[in-house]
Amino acid sequence: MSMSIEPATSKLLRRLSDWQPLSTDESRALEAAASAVRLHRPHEDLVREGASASHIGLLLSGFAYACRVLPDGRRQIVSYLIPGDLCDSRQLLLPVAPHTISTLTAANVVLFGRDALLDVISRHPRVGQALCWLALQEEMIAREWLVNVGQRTALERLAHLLCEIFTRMQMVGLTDGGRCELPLTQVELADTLALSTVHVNRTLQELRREGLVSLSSGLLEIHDWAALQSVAMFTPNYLQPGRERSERPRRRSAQP
Amino acid sequence: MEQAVLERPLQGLCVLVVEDDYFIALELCGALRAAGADVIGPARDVGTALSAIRDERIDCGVLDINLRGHMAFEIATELRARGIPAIFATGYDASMIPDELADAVRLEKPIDLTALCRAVESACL
Repeated sequence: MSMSIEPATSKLLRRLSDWQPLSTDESRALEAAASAVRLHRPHEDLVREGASASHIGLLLSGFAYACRVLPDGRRQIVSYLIPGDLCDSRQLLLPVAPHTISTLTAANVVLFGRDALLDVISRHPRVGQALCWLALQEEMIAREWLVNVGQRTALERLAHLLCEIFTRMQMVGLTDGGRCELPLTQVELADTLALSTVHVNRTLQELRREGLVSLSSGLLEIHDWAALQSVAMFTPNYLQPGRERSERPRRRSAQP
Repeated sequence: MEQAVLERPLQGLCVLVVEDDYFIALELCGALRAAGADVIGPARDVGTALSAIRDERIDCGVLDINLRGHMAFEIATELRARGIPAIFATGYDASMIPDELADAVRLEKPIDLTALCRAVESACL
């Protein structure tokens, strides 16, 4: 398997540099803590809820998601992981995995030994701060999801999720104009947004009819970013905590 | 990191299906098999289910409650005595289930087959 020339950790470093660029020493230490790259197939578990975790993965390519399953089989997807995301930074401090993480697509994952990573942090405190910052970002996303299922309507929810994922993909350089890969089925969207699949289907059609966005065959196309953002009441600030605030868009007036 | 493949998450598990409705049984067994399980049954009455429990390796039971007027609770109790999880797949509500089985997982009909497979998977973890 040929890996690209860029170091495996480059997407992670790019994310961390959104906080503060790391020095060459710090970047090298992080790079040195990375061990084998593994290719996973679609729909494979990367981490199992409750399993003890000696390694922390960094997604280099592909998509994954974290979910919790109730005893009767109902499932809530609690986060999506894109390249540059750790699965899972909580495992630095938790002896067991707090939820299951599975791949959606084929995915390359590089593993950090937990002890190796803790050692880097103790030698380079700024790496620790940067990783805290990543965890903060995850928490901000989780809070937005709570607002989503608690307050937003189906249309707003779906629009918000699409804005969020598109922005995250943009932040790691994985968008092409208004397009990006998004290999989610309507079942997955339903289990994310607390809607039925029928409702997700209708809502996607509505977004398409309004000329805002289309999602098919794993490709997300944004046709009218401003309008989508406005429907969703989306501001990217929470994805870049610490950055200067951009202005909050006004809620679009009611449809005629 | 484990390498469990989610497409066949029930691979290697023997699941007893107890259901007297032919079409529902067909559907349950089909979904469980597609997820990789070995299906025992479907048993259509209490006696058949109990002898299956005696004779076969079973990792989990999926039970309808009302089998032509006979309640499936005896089957659940027998499974439980052997440390095997039982899942009710039923139209009955929780108040019909005796106290000693009240903590068993209950899926309501119509059964969401994806949820059923996840429930079996979690019960067998």
